[in-house]
Amino acid sequence: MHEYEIRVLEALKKKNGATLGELEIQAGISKDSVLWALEGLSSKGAVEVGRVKKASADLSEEGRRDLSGFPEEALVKKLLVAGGSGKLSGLKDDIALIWAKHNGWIAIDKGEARLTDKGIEFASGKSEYQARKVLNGIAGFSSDPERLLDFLKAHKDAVDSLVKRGLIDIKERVMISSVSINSVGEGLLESESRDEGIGLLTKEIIVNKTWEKKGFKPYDINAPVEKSTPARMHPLHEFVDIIRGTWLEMGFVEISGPIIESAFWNFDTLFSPQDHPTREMQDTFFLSNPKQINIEDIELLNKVRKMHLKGWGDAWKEEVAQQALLRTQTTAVSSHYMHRLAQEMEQDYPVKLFSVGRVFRNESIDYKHLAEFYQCDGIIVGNRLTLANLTDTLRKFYAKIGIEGVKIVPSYFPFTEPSLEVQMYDEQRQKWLELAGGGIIRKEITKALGLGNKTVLAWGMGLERLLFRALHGLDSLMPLYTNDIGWLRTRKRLIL
Amino acid sequence: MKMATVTFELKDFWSSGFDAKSTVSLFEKIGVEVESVDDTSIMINVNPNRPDLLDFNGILRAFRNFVGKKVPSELAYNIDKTPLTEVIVSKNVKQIRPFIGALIAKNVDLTGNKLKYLINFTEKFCDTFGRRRRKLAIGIHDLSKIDGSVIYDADLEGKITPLNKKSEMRFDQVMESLQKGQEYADTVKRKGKTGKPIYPYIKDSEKVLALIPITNCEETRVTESTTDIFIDMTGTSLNTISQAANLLACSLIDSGAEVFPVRIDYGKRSVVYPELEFSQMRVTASVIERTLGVIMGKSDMIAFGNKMGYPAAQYGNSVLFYTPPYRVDVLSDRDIVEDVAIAFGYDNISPLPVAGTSLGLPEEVSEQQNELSRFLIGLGYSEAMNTFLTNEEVEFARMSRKADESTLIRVSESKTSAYTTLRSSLIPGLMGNLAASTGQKMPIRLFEIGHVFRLKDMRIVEGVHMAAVSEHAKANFAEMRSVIDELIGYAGLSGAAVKAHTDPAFIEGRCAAIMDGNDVIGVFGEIHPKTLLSFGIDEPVVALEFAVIKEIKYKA
Repeated sequence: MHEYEIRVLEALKKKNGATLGELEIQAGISKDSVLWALEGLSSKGAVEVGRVKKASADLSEEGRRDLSGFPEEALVKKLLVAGGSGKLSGLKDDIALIWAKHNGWIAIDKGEARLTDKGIEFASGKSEYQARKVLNGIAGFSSDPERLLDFLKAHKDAVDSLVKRGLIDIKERVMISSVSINSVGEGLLESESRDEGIGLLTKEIIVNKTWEKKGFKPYDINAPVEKSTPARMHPLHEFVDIIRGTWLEMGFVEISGPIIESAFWNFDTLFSPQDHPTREMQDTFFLSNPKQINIEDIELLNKVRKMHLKGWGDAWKEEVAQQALLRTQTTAVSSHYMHRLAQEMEQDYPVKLFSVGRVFRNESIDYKHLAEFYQCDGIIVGNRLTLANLTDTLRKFYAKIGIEGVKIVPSYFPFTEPSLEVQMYDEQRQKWLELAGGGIIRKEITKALGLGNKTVLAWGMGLERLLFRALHGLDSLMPLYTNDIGWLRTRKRLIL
Repeated sequence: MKMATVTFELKDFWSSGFDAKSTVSLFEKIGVEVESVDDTSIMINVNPNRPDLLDFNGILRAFRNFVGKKVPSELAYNIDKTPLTEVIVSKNVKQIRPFIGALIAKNVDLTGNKLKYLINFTEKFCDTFGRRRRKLAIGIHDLSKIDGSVIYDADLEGKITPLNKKSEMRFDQVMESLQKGQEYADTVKRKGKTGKPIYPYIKDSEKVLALIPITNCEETRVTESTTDIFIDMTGTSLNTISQAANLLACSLIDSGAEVFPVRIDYGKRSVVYPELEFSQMRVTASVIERTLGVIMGKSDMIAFGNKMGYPAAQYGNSVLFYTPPYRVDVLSDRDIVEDVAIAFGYDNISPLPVAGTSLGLPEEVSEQQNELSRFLIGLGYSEAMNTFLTNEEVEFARMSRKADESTLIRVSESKTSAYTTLRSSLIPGLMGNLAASTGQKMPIRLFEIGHVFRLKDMRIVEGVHMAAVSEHAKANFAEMRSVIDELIGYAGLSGAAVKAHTDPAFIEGRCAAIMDGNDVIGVFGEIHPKTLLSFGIDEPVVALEFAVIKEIKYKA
């Protein structure tokens, strides 16, 4: 017999006809373990289990809200204060009207609700509201299923109406009422105690060396056990750390920048024309408070203005550059650092930087499109850097995280020239998919940011596609931000 | 970047000498992504810098150049520069849509899919490059149906027989009832304080030819049998119109048509379109090699330039490239270097390691967060990550807390009603996570470390908070108090103290503040049942939140 089974039988010897709760305490094991032991004992025919029908009642969200007062109660109290009647247009709450009328508290006439005598009696606190009493009662008995069943029976009409209103959900189930040991059980227990082996190891047994003489009883190694509840790191955090670790190993310095940006740093310094569609409302989260972020570096502002006027020919507006927004790309961080490097006199080139962070898109969200996601950007700033250096860096990165056979193809971004895209082949979709975009930062930009004599290799990558891969089998990113502990505890480890 | 997709029938490439296999491979070679291909058709993604590749004729030209069937020449687009006709521009259009360009083409072949391709091309072109017709709109008319010279004007009212309609409609009716009218309603400008809409249009001596940028008239409809066409291009930028005229003229010339210029008469001055000039750019050979990291002879550079459509010639240590008029994206020598690289083949560039060694260095903030995370996981708390965007209902109403407008950061016109503000605290998100964990085994313990946002004297402050929640039947103040004591000891916050505190989200008398000197840096205690119920939680919860970093100081 399993240790738990013995404990349950011993507990029954002390108090026959025990309830589950009593067994839990007497046997000193969890409810789940008691139930499991009882299953085993029943199949051995060692116990008699008495069952009884019981009820449980769950309050809906609305039901919980109504614990502090029903809308119809509020309505009649409001009417009482208003002198006993009120125009219906001022009393919008339909549910309240329906139930107040149903209870005979009000009469409706010519678009007016008027308190009846019964209503006045109730509103002035002279009578009790049955529905409220029953709802409170159910909430109170929720942990006492036996009394709850009686209570439900006694207030059948009121309960039915609460169920209809969707405030409570009643479930009847069969539960264990009492357990008693029978002669088979007694016999089993006796033979168990004759068996001299040691069950649960105790401090006493250890120090007294009882085990030298008695030996140990073997356990059933396949007996079910209680589930562990491990505390774990969030998969997104774990994943971001893998990406960070990879760049760090490749000799890159981690940088970060503001989440709330000006259009200037997010778009203008990156040569994105001011009338470009992605700047429009549908893609970018602009802020309404604060609306603007001032650009204090006038010299830089003028250089960027010049770059736009020369490159795009259209009017360039300072107000547009000052719009406050949630960054749409971590490239904004790279742009800050290019400018900062230009301010520093001494610097060992090449400088290799990367950042990982959250970016935002104002999209209607569904299971595949979220408004927030992660991006990783990087730059290498130096004197003699080539496109071949960039392809080498990106190929190495992907090889390090286990993606072999990437393809590099031409692409277009307003801030790089030449531009490239890294793609991987998706077996499932039989298609090449984009992993990253990059290129050599346009001379117009390096010049405006003060790095005119340097070459800047830059790239940006979304992390979602890699994350889906790592969380193999996940087909929506929603669970990442729902944080259901059940999923957090049981999700598989990341595999790159 | 946003790309435009276009679809073509494979048989049209076949009849020009490119079978399906070579069509797909040529698209890849010239740097155009093939989105999908089946037995009869091919769909491609065109980058916004190459509108010339939205055009079937432009693609054929690029293919022919690439395979060497055609050697690009500066003489390719030489036409008679004498204008065949003119467009007279009225002053009325000045404030609303000031510029127009036009050209005439004769002996155009629009049979088969050619008309469809031409229309698709101009539509996609105006949608992307023309910023949804605001910056540029193009109209194509049957030249033989235009009577007399064309006038570009604007008025408060007018009438047109729109395409596919049998009778005349007033301009305002067109705007209201036609799908294109509704779609491009935002292009309409209003006049003065009365706010009456003012409509730009072109007309000949008889009729209104087009209500711009909504519809052409039915009378000048172009069909597969039309051979002579008049094209108008209107918009807000002279440069864009000039580029559009060049693109269309090159396309028509390459397809075998004859193109004739049109003079635009602005009164005091006049312009003739299309201009069709090649622009010359001298690129030093070493710049190409140093940019790509590839050793390449000048004759190769010339050959690669030719493959990408540039007439080119050696000039000392440099190569002279002549940018064809249909290329609207070439701003500097780098753009030409990129084209040389495309012709060379990106995958043929041998990777070269970046010279020199460097040490990786993590950001302090990330390290600090990681350290704290490990500590909390050790205490049995699982990590949660919530969105930075939230709303006032979750963050304030459910927490019985009051929103402070002067510190609250708000986004405008969110597409998701749940995302209207940026979070200033973490507990509300974790409460939502507890609600989502209903039915899971207790105790449920969660923590989050992450960004919070607020305004301080109109300045944006980004900070990092840490919060933890614990939900189970026996959760109580003492449990969180012991976590705090551990944290204070661990983090070495020797100055930190705990003081009684009031926060409407917590039970009065079971809530405390964590103090750093006189500053409240955190709060913890038992969550009030009212707060629990508002999140749909019916078990006790204790919670804690404190500022790990009050304000992040970004280094750049």
